[in-house]
Amino acid sequence: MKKNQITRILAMLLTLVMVLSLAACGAQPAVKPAAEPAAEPAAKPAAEPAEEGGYADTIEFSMANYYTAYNFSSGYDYENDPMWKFICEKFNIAPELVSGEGWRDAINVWATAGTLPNIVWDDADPSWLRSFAEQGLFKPLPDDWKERWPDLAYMVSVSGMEEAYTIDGKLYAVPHAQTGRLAPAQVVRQSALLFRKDLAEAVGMPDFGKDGQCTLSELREYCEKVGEAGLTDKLLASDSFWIQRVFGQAFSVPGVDWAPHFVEIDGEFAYIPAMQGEKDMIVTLQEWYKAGIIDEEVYTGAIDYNGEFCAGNTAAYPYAFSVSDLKSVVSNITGFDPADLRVCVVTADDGSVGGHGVSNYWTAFMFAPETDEATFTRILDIINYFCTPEGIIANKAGVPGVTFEMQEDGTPKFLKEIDTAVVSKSPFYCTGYTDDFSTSGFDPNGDPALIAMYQACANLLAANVIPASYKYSVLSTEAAQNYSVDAYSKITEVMCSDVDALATWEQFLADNETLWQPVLDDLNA
Amino acid sequence: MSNTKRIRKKRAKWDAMDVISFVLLTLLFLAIILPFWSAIVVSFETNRAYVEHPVSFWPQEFTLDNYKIILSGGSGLIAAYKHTIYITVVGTVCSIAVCAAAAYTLSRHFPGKRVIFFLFVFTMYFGGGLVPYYLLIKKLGLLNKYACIILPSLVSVWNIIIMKSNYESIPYEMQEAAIIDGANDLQIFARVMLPLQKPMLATFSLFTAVGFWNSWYMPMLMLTKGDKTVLQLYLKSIMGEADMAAKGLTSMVQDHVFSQGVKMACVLVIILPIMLVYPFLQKHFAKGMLVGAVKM
Repeated sequence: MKKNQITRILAMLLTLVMVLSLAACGAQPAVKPAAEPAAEPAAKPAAEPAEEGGYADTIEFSMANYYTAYNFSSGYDYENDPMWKFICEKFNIAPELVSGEGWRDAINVWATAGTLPNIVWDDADPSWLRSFAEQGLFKPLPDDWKERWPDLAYMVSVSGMEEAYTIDGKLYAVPHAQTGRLAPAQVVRQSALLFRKDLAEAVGMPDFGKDGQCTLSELREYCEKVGEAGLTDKLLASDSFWIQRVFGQAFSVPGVDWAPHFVEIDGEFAYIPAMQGEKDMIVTLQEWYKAGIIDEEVYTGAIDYNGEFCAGNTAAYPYAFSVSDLKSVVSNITGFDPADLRVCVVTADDGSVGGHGVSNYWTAFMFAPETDEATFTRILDIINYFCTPEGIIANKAGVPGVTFEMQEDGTPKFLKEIDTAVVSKSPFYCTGYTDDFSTSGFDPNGDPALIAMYQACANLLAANVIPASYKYSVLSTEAAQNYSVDAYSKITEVMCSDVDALATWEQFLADNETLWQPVLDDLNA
Repeated sequence: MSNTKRIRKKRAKWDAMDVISFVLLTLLFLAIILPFWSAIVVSFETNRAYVEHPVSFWPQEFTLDNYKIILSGGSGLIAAYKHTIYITVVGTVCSIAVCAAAAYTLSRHFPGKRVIFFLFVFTMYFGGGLVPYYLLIKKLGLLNKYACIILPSLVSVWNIIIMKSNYESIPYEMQEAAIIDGANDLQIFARVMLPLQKPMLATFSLFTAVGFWNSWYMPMLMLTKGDKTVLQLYLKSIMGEADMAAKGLTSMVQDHVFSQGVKMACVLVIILPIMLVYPFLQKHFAKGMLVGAVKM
């Protein structure tokens, strides 16, 4: 055979192999039938004392904790960490800590390669979780998980993410609720406006943000007056992400930072970017940007807006926060008196606020499919413990019996000062609720004024904002899996430009109609 | 006036092109050096000073807090340095040795040379992807070992190709002379060929060393036990922590972390060793940069 023919045949063979491998990778699993609707939230379990002993055999497992990756990488001696030692002894475990650095990238590779640590931690947006769960790359909880681990079940129910993480009737991730056991469960994650009382008084608006709310017009007036008086360099400055969230509530539309961009209202699904409130919000944002009220660097996203506000350079700072976040803002304030920090929800001029918000959770645990039942039970026992009142307080305060002890009425009595630096380095930090202790008022280092400000906003939002719904039916259709429209970035782009905002947005919707309309049709079929 | 003086006098005059070149090169110099200088300034600045004067030639409010945060890792930082230096030194030496030897072999004539060379080059066109790569490392039992970072990077086909062409440019007569003197292939390689390739070896050593020094993605995936954390990963985790602390999200909050300052301090801590080593290689580097320009 001639040399050329041999080369051609080799090339064709190679091409065939590549095509075959591509075809093999492209095979989709069969679409699973829709899961049953989520049950009613679990009742709060009675605060019974934890069982003593009962763990005869030592269980070994691996856990990746992103939250304390820094401490891990810096060589923190976690094996001598007080909470680590307490939990290991209480549950008779010998866990191995694996670096959680890299978060999603590492999990993607580990899960696919079958080397996932027994417990991993991730933001766990439902679409991503579903794609992994359907391939059997995560382990679901046992069917009787609600009965066996009632405190954990309660946390899952108040997080608002149970339905999103339930696939084919099985729960594949344990979300960390922000509040709900010691403090009232917030319905949605807090997104509101931080501003300064001293500036409001200086410009003759002492009642601005009173009772934890302000209207759009009042906010504009406040910003313009502060700008005219030259009191700060920036007026309204934050990441576009938070601006859209906070303003979205004023226009009663959900944020579009998290796909899918579909929401169920009164039994019918709507496409969020096409809602009238969304269009009105975009037009308003652009108007404010052109008027110099919204900071010009919003488009680049390169500014440390948190730092700018704390340094006293910003008049109003839209932000999403917990009580702990507020505490940290207060501790970082250098440009003004921290006592002048105020918080409020931005409403429409008629006082209305609505839309949807991200649920009461922050990140979740997932589990490796190779985890055996005994190990899995022990792991869930530990998580369940951190969902009890004692466990919630221990997580943020220190070892029970050393830093505090629980009294008969269910409140803690503190035996010594909380060493926040040590507590926050524990690999078990934020297992369970992430901010329940800080919001509860039990924290001896807490600021009642901050909690009150936070709660005022939370109550207003809870009464009006609906938690985002992540129905399985939304995410399982083929059209939904093909949906990919970066509405969030487009809003930022339009906001920071001179184009006709409404026309540009309508064109954007028209250009992407082939992507979102089929999803909408499927949902409303 | 002597010729020399006349020439010197002529050279001392600046014409318009000289002025334009000087201005452009000065601007280029400033464009390169100013961001670096800014990083140094910000790393020694407080948050308030940075916010009020994001760009300044001198720290408005001097502080060492940013470096204290990084260096407070203590044993963690030292360990990360040790691991990284080990990987860099061992990896660079082994890689250069392997590539130089392979390139010399491929520059000789032997049966099947074209096929073998094609197989080398073929690996540049396709890759199995990240997950197959990870699975291979896992199956070889290399996870959480230095070898998982060093071994896969030992052979750089690009370096081999450049080195090979360089070897081929050396007159065969030099090797003939060595053969006549009784040298075998190994002796010819070590005593004749390698000494003639010093600039090239220095250049590739620097590139390879920088590659090992900067690696963090593979260590992140494969060195998951804390006892082998590399410097880039250690500092990346500090920067990530500083970012989250700026948003009030993590345990660093009580340290009043200034994320931008910490980031800049991280940058300097990372590049300092390379900057200390580079002057010693600079004379070879300049020559070595032209290595790739020789005909293949």
